[in-house]
Amino acid sequence: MGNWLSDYNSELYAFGHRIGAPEISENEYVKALTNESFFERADVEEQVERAQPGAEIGTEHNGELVRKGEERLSIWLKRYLRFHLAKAPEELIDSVDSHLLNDECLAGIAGHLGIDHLVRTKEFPISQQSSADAFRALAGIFSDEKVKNLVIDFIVPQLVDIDFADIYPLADPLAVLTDLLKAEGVTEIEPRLLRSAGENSAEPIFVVAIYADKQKNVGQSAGESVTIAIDMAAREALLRLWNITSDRVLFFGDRAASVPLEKYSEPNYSLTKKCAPGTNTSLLDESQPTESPDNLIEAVLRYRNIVDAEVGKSYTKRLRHKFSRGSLAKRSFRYLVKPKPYTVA
Amino acid sequence: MPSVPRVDRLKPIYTAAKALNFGWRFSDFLKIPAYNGISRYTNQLHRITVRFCKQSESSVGVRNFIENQIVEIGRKNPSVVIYAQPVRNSNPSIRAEYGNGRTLQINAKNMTETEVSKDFHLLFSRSGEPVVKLESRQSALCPSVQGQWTPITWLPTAMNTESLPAKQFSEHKSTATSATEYILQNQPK
Repeated sequence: MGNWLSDYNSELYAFGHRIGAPEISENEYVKALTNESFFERADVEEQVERAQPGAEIGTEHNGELVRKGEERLSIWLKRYLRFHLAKAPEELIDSVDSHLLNDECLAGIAGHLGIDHLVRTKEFPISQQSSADAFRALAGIFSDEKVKNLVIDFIVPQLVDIDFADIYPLADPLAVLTDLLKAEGVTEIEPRLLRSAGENSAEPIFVVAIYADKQKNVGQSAGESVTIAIDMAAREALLRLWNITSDRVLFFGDRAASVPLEKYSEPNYSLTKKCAPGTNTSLLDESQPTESPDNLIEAVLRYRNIVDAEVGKSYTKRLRHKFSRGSLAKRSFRYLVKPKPYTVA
Repeated sequence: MPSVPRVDRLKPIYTAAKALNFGWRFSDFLKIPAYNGISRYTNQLHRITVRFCKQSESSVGVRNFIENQIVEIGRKNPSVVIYAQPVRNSNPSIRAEYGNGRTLQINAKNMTETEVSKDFHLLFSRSGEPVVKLESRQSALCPSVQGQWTPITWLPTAMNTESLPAKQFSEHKSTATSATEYILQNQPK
């Protein structure tokens, strides 16, 4: 239904119940759902009769509430994460937190809550950022207990789909693992190649395990090259060290709400401080390609000048219309290679 | 029109693809929108509109439904906005909008009050995802302990240093007892 047919006040009332905070007054919701750009709209500026939607309510925008709400969402989410990942470094918790509270994730939640229909803004369609900002602003007007519920009800469930090995991609996991294990009294850490197969094939596999003191296998993984396999095994070992295994049980709903999360306000240990000074604790930069791509132009020129001159144009080039899937003139291969008088004699 | 019609051109493919709306997708995996119900269940129905005519006979069931039931339903479901929209000389319909942005519409022409009520409740309880034949996705509550199986998952480590083929790894293994083994184990007295 277009906004011209819906009743903004009824929608706000329903939204309050949907998000689980019916006690908040309508004006506060309106303030949280008003984007800064709304007042630049032509119909609002010129005070048109029945400007859309609900222009007569309120003159404040949510700029301040967004900052406030963002902070409070992050506080509660980090408390929840620290409760579950007690042994993980603060850097990991930060990266999970920033992933779950980025514009994309929050805009997805906001869309399903129907915030997109309610936000008062100049832009159409509403951008991801404004949508996410409106959600953050809601945390700005809620009481502390309600923000906790908001985080547990809507943000935390996304953890079921998060791959912890990918969300905190250390650039040099083996060095970090070595430092952490040495702090625990292990003297020697070595990666060992357990198995390998198909080294010269298109799909080689190398299985590497990290051994502590030549006795204990602390992490094991397969990879398509030895370096990749070592990295993967080290990541696996780190996750095991931090008790992030696939059999962990996350709390949701009432079970999560009944945990005294306030106790987990103190940040966990910092990985940078725990590692030796020279260790690389930075993350992989995915934006930079590690290897230059193959030179396509060179390959084409080589084909044209050398290969083509030698073997000539192939059937698929010369008789393209006979090979094309969509052509009625398509001929089978047997038909094309059938001996003809001029090919035989 | 070319003499040989093409079926691999962008235009006919694009035209055909436009028709592939959800009505033509027959099977899909079970999905819940927005992780609903993992922590808290929220009704995915956001607003529902009843269009009806105040006079015509075909709307009589809808009118009765509005008169007798709709207020009570609205009171029980404060998170859903209910609109009743009288439109002269129109076929009555119930239109529901969901959190995932989809809209479902049911034509309520000549329906009785009971039938309208049934469809209204159906729209209330849906998630907005299209109704399709559900396909099972291979999944497990606990992922496998050994990890994904590969041909080298359970190879004995003794094989690492051995140069193959070796006799001990070339023996045929079977759970069934062979005749030779049976005789060796049960020597005749």
